[in-house]
Parts: sequence; structure tokens; C-alpha cells
Amino acid sequence: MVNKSTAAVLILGFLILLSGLSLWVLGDQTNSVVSLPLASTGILWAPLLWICGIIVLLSAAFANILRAKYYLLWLVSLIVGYIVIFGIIVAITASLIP
Amino acid sequence: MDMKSGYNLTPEDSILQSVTRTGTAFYVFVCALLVLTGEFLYAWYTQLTTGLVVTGMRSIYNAPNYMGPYIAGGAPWGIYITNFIFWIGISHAGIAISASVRLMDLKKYKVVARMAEVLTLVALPMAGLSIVFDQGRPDRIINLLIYGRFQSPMLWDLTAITTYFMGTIVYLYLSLRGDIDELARKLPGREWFYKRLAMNYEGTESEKERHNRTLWWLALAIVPIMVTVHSVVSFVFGLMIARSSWYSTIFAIYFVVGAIVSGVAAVYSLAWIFRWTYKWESLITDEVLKGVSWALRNVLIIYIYLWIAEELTTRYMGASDDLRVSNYLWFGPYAPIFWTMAIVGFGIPAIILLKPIFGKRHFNPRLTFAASIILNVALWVKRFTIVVPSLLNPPLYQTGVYIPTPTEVSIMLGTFWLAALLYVAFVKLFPIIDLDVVKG
Repeated sequence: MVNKSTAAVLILGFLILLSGLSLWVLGDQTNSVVSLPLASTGILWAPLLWICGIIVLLSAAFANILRAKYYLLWLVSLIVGYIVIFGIIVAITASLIP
Repeated sequence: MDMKSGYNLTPEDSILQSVTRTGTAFYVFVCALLVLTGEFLYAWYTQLTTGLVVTGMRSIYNAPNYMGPYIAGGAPWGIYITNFIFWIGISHAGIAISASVRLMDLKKYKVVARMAEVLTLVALPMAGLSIVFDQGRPDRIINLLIYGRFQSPMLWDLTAITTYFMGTIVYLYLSLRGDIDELARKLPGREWFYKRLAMNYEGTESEKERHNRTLWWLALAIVPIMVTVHSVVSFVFGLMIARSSWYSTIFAIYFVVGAIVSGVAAVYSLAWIFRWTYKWESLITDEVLKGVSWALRNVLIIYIYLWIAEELTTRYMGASDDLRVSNYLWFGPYAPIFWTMAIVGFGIPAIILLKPIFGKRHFNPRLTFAASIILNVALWVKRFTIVVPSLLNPPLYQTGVYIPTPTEVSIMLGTFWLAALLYVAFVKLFPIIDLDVVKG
């Protein structure tokens, strides 16, 4: 049986993933040149939320195993680490490309 | 389990010797890898500061003519994307093997499970890096996260690879946690590191049971993810109608089976190397190696069957753009590579792997190791013959011949040195065989 904390994280991950998907569908259905999230924030948000949703979903495996503080540490490390890798590539290459 | 290694150690200490003992050969190996990595970084620096003009991928229209007009060809994906498919392939069977061992309760093969898991973890970033190398402006890669659109197979790729990578990290940590706690007790000098990493692991029966149950569910999720990821990689090609010979329904299964061949061969190679290095004959027995080679043989037969089916379909239908690409491969400038790959790269390993059918004594672990290495080289070349000839033969004209430059080759090889360094770092920090194997 899936315990409560695992189920809660699974649902949370699924909701984040779904919100990413919804933003994309809504943004794509409108006839405006630029979708609303992109126009208002400069970011499309859909792919970012989608990826974060996947990470949260997969990390549900830890929810039943690690203590809350360690679990949060893992979750934050996975998400931040993932984005930081992109940041490092961008920073290094941007400084070298003339 | 009553077993002794070649160094007359207890089974557990025998496994841990990869963490606890460091010989001169290790330092020499690491130094060589560092030098090669340095050379790779210099090559990448050259490409970043000069641009993709230093590669052989440059377009025929603006290429410098010093290599002759025939040589300057436009193959914008070249060996970087070949390398991307190769690493994705290597990564796939890795964790899938481990997941299958758990799901089907194949206890005998648990001894190679972690080698496979780490292979996935090391190979996936190399695949991602290969994409970065291919970009003229890698500083814009973040745009994939900010502005990526779901209609693009590139975003499918990012999603699939991320899912697989994160799943692997979670899976590996869970399967490793008990061993990390064990290391904290066995190596007092590094206790602070392992203790923190174990995150309050207590090792109670209920905790172990929870771990096993969670790992089982993760394993169940990982197998379909593995199939999805390589299918998605194939869609980058298989959905492109504008390129001859790519638009094909067979591509997804073709890529998935190719990945399994590649991954199983790599796991066999690693198992043999570790057995030879640490004298683990009593742990990685002939029986285990034979089982892995048996799996390799079966998937190789399926792969060759799919390959023949693809070639037959293309060549039987008569004059077409696909046939033009096929002719270019069979009789054109890449014909020597193509036929060497087919005969030496696939034919000889197939014979070696098929031999044990005729009797147990025909299984030779060393020869099978050579076959697994040859197979992976051949599979790299196979990916090259999928990517490059189609790019050089667009429907209206032929652009020439693509020959990678030394800079490009250095960058491509750099992923191998980096992967080896990461793998070696893991082996120095954690046991590469699950300690549960000897605990029973």
C-alpha cells in the first residue's frame, strides 16, 4: 500500500505536471502572438513546470523512506541542481563565445 | 556465501577493496584520463571561441576550400549526434538490466546490477553534453526550458532524458543507502562523509523492507521509461519526412533494440574488466557472464533481423530517395566503413556469441569480452551510418562527404574520458557490487 506522504507527493507532482501541460494547451489555443505567461513574465513556464512535476513525481519514492528534512533537502537538491547544470553551461559558454 | 577472492579476503572486504585499496596503476590510469580530458577541454574551448567552422559539419556553401570542394560537406549533426545516440543507447540497458533483475528476481545477476546502474548515471550526462557540443550557441540551451514547445521532439527528448536521469538517481541512491551506512562504520576516516550521505539510515528490518518495496515499484516504472526514452530519440529522426531514409515506422523499435544491444554489451565489458582487475572470479562467475552473453546474443539476433528488414524494404521498392541513400552507403564513399562494420563489427561478434549454442565448452569469457567491445564500436559506427548519409543526401541534391576534423574527434572522445573519470570516481567512493550479494 502507498502511504499518505508518498500519495501526497505523487498528487503534488502530478498537479505540477498537469499545470505545466495546461499552461501549454491554454497558451497554444489562444490566437495571440505571445501566450499570456510569456507576455506577462517573459517565461513560458510550461516546460519548467512540466520538468519540475516529473522530478517531484519521481522523488515520491523518498517520501516514505527519508525523514521530512532530508526528503526536502533531496527534493530541493534535485530541482536546483538540475537548473544549476543549465546555468553553468550557459555561464561558461556565454563567457567564451565571442 | 562461502567465497574467497584472489587476494584471500572475506567476500565483503573483497568487494570493498575497490574503495579501500589504491595501487599505482590506478593513479597512472587517472592521470592518463586527466591529460586526455584536458586535451578535450582545449578542443572544446577552440570550438567555442572559433565557432563550428572548426568542425567538418560546416555547410558546403561557406566552407573554406582548403580541403577541396568534394570534401566540404554539410552534415550539421555529424559525430556529435552520433555520439548522443550512442550514449543514450549505452545508458538505457544499464538501469533496465538492474530493474529487470529486481522485477524478475534474478538473484544471480544482482552482482552486475550496480555496474549497470552507474553506467546509466554516467552515460546520460554524456548524451546531454553531445547535444551541447553540436550547438553553435550552447549559451542559449536554457531557452529549451524557458521557451520550449511541446510540439518539438527536442522537448520530448529533454523530458524523457530528465525523467530517466532523475529516476536513476533516486533508484541508485535507494539501492546504495545500506552500503553507504556500512561504509561509514568500516571506514572511520571517511565517516563524516558517508554518515551524512546515508541520511540517518538505521538498517532495521522494516526499513530494509520499505526500501525493497519502493525499489520494486521504481523498477516497474523504469522499464517503460527506458522504452519511451529511446523511442523518443528515434522520433527525432523517424518523424522527419524531409530527410530520405529516416521517415520510418521501424525506427522506434530499431533504436530500442539497438540500445539494449549496446547497453548489455557495455555491462558485459564492465563486468569482465572488474572481474579481471579485482580477481572477482568467485563473485562474477563464468555462469553470470554466460547469462549476460546469452541475453546479448538474443537481442543481437533481433537487431540484425530488424536491420535486414529495413534494408530489404528500402532496396526492394526500386528507385526512391531512400534507395539513393542506401546506395550511397553500400557503394559510396562510406562503403568501406559500412561493410567493415557489417562484417567485422556485427558478423564476428555474432559468431562468437552464437558458438556456445553448440556446447558449454564453446563459451570463452575473454573472447566474449572482445566481442562486446567490437559490438559497441560497431554500434557507434551504425549510428553514424544512420545520421550522416541522410544529411548528405537531401531529396534534391548531394552535398559531398562529411569528414570530422581532429577538433571534432577530440571533443567526441572527450565524453569517453569524462565518463571513465566519473565511473572511476564512483568506484573509489562506493562499492560497485551490492554488499547484499555476499550477505545473502
